[in-house]
Amino acid sequence: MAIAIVGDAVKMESGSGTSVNGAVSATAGNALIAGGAMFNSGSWAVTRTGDTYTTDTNGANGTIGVGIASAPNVAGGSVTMTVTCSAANGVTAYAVQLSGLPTSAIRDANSPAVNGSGGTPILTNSLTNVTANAIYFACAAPGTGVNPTTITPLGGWSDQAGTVTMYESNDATVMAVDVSYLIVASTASRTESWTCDVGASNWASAIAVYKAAAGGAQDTPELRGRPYGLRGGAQMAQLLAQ
Amino acid sequence: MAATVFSFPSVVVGPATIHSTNRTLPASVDVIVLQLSDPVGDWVNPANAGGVFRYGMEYSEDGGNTWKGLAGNGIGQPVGSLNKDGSLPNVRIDWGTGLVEARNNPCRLYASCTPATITIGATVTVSR
Repeated sequence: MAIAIVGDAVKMESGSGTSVNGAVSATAGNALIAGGAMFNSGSWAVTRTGDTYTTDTNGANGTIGVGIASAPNVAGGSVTMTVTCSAANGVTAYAVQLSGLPTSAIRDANSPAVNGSGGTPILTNSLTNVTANAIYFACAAPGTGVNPTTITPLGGWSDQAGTVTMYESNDATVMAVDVSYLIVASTASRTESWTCDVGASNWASAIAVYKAAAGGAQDTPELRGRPYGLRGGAQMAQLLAQ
Repeated sequence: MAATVFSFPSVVVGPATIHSTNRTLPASVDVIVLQLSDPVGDWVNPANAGGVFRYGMEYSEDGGNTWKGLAGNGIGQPVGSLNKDGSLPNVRIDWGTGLVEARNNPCRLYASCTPATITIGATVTVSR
């Protein structure tokens, strides 16, 4: 089945404390991914009544922490999601709904360790998908302490989920973070990187990959012929019409 | 839509969960920010350290018989904790699909504090 982002991402955010909660709507049987950043080196745990979450990647570089958790086959309707980070003092989390994933065992490959360093660009460690049709998620916390901090995903990855840009620029009061994804149709080793306009001083980044349910063809930019892409596809159509 | 601010008078919050009066969420809201205020300095008073404060906003789709969480600070946080820049705590939910269910419906705040008892105020800013 083709993987698709469903609806708008939900941002839950607090500049203090260890946890946040928010109402997250979903269609029963879809998957939810919850990724983001915390101000400290705690764990990343997600709950939502009726769902079973696995923390797929979690770690920190000093006091800048990141995490991504996922649940297949989630409960339908508007249900409270809670993201709890041990020892944190501030959490910014995005919840994204996905269709086209299996109803169990959605993680395609184990994530590498959280990456952390200083300076730019911010980049994740590499991760290779086992299943050709898959979706990668990655998140970056720049740790600048500056508001605004502009973080831009590179390499064709997108941080748009519905009408929402999964990007918090305020790293002074809350946790700045960018959550991006890439839908793929071939196996390869991939990393994600971001630019950061004020220079990331002590950043952390994480990456995870989830597989498509068996059956059906994937409709992805890669299958549409990157580097042709949408623009290239239109050019090809023009050539064929001539 | 211009931002709408709901102000809630300061109240004494103890271990028993209390609720505000109901307000109706506007039909076009996409962003909610729930901001604490500290009118008498209880939040930053070291004598109250050790307390765990839990607060948030919930909504009802059946006229107030049952309530669902909309935004909050989850399991709670220590009394006296501040944002990274030293400002008072707030929680925010953006563009949540759950907001669709809450629109045009009654909403209320909830709060509890264990074991301390403190006076806290709050404002809720809704916008799109």
